[in-house]
Amino acid sequence: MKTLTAVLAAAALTAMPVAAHAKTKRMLYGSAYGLSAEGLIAVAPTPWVVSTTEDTVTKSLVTVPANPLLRGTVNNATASLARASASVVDVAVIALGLQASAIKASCDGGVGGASLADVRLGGQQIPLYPPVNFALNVPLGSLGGAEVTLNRQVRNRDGSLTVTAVHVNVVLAGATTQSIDIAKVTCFRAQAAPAPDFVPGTLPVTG
Amino acid sequence: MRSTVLLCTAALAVSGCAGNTATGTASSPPPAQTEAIPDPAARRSSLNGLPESTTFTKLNGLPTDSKQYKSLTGTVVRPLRAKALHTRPEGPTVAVLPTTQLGGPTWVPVLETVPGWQRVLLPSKPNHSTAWLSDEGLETAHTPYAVRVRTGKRRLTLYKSGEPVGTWPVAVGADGTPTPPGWTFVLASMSQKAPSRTGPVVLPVGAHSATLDTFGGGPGTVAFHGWPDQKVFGKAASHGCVRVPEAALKALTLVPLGSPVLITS
Repeated sequence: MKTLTAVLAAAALTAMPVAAHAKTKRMLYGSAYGLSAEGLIAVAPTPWVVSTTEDTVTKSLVTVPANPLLRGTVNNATASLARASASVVDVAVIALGLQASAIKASCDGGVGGASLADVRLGGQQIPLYPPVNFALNVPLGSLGGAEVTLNRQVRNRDGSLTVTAVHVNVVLAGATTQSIDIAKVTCFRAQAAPAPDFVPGTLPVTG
Repeated sequence: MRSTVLLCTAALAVSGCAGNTATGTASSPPPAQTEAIPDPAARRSSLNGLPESTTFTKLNGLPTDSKQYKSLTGTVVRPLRAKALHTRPEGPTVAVLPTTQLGGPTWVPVLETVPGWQRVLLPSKPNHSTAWLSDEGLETAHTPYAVRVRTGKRRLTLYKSGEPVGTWPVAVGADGTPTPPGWTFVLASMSQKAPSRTGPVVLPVGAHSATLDTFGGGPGTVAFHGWPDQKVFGKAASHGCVRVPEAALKALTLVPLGSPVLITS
């Protein structure tokens, strides 16, 4: 707990401003990024890719800017309107003792999922493919703890789906002081499936 | 399971292997003979010699849909080339999903997704078989439609974007040959020229009768189709198929392949 508090307090003095996210009001878009943090320590979404069309936007091999909270290398962040994925390797959230060799999130046509490889989190067993909104609590001493949600899936008002492989809320003294997202993607539903054409033929069915 | 081959009259050489056609019950199968037309893909060796998942095949070793999903998202996928079917992501390959089913494109519903992989329902036996497909070489689409059949109430309801757009009384499987419960999907849309009690339109789904291994020379595939005797609607009278009124059939022909179908009591 002292460690986390010290880290957060020190970081608060040099906190980076939260990056302005893409202004996409009323615009349909797919998006992806590998890591971000908001609160006492801010890390802009890295790298933030957005696509408003079926064309794919990709950024690869981006290292998170140096900060005292988390580290990792974004292997890939890619997005089109209906498909997005993000992959982060060698991830560590230092204060939580969270480490993983690879964390991924994907969203395809309005459905999505997450995977976490070789995770260490306070001795807890973490499945490779956690169920949707798999929740964990990590105590951080007497002042609070961290609420960790794996494979967090949120259906947005505009119909899009947002999948976050790891979402962390640090709650100290009853207030959220820090949030962290690792591998976060958003996509819209795919194109409309076509009405079928009749195929001439016969099949004996069970009448 | 009874292994029964019921043969139809020549006039019912298609999907009209329809039980006791006079009364609409399953107790007295038609006596004469037909020539079943198997899916050519079922006879073809496929990728690496693995069996194909079609309505004609039975595949062992695949996981079943055991999660009792309350709803499906409407995401459907089509293999642009024959795709390997895995027991789990990165797991062993045990079969192949071909690009066509019954002469039309293969579309299957997605049950769940993990990065790089989609779990889908399959058209092969046993009922509720699922498998994992890698993302490459898949076309993804969204269907707003879902079909629900309540065998107890003997009603079919068509939903679009979660809202009912039509409900009709239907005939479902008789006591000895019930319409199998659970999730399945619209597999094909077939038109036939030969006269049949089922009418010219037959919409096979991915499920099979749980009590009849074969029927009329076919693999026991369940389907939506019409029926000439209006009195049958609202009864448990078929060998497993769902006989629907003309208005229902007309609406169902607009439903994209792969659209989910839920059969409950």
